Amino acid sequence: MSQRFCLQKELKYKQVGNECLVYQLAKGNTLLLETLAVDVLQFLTNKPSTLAQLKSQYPHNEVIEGTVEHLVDAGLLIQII
Amino acid sequence: MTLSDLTLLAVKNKLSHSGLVFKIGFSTVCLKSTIPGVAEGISTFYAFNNLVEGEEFIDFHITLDADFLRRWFRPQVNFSFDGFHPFKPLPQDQAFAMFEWGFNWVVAQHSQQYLVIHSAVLEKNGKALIFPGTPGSGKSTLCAALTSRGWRLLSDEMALVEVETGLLQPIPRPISLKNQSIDIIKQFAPEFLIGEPVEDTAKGTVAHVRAPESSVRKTDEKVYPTAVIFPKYKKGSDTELTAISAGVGFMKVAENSFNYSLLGETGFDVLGSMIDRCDCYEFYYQDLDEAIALFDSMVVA
Repeated sequence: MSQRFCLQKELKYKQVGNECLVYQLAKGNTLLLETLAVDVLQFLTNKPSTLAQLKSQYPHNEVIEGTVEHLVDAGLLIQII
Repeated sequence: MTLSDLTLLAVKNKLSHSGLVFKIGFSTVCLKSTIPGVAEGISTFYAFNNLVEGEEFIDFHITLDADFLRRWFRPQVNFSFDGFHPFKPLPQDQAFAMFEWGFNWVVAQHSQQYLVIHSAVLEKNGKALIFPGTPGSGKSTLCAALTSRGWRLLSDEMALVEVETGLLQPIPRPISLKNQSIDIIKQFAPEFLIGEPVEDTAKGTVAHVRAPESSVRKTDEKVYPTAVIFPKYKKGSDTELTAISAGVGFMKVAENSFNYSLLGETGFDVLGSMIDRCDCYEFYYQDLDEAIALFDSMVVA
């Protein structure tokens, strides 16, 4: 079964212009994200998805895989089976 | 009653016995010291600060005392806060500078009712500008220059953003000039009271500028910030103000904050609200007159 990505629960957002600040309550880290990353987070908020599903959501975006990877590395997304 | 109402002898007596109790910004400080030069430094640079009489709660108990074993050979000064010595001793001719550095540390570490940002803060026409700066950015030089041209000094060293309201709490204190900036400001503002330079400190040669009386008297007048400007002195540079995004501004301010991480989620909320109120810029300069004209134009009444 493909792994699905879902949102790390303890996050706090603040939209500033076309960027978004994300605060990880558990770690106390603050990250500044660009639009695509915020879109991905918002998309996954209520709908854990596989990478294939995400790619189909953003069919013309070639960096979606890297963005997801970045969000996983940053601890904002977790992978579930 | 301010410190200027006391004779130097009276200040020395208080320092060497029960302690000199006076206001610095929001705080009440009790300072004790028998070190030569401390009374002169405090009398000169805190002349306009209010004395505190009676039983008022004291926020910070500070002592500058001599190292007993080094009384005669290269005498040293120790800074203590509530009986704790956070720093290594320094040569005694740096005693007043040590008070200034130590007090910065005390406020930064023990004022969690504020988001504390390493920056100068100045106000004109009700509009306050925050100038966060790393060492060598020219923050204090710019701060002294603006102060000499009618800007109210809230602080040369730290912005205190009240957690509950987002207002800036003034804490006007001496401006600390280093190295070449001492002569630059002596020429730029000859009317300023600037202390004797102290050489060979950890920061090079240091001299202090007394905060204007008008700024010290307005210690209770809080104000909202309207812009965050990251200054950088660059020799040969044109005066250049470049807008940066609010997100980048937020992250840069967080890097310059002493207690953003410590405040946790509260720090995120307070800084977020502050950034909502502020435009954010990077600023390169060399010419102080041009810099002042630019900032004057930003705060036209």
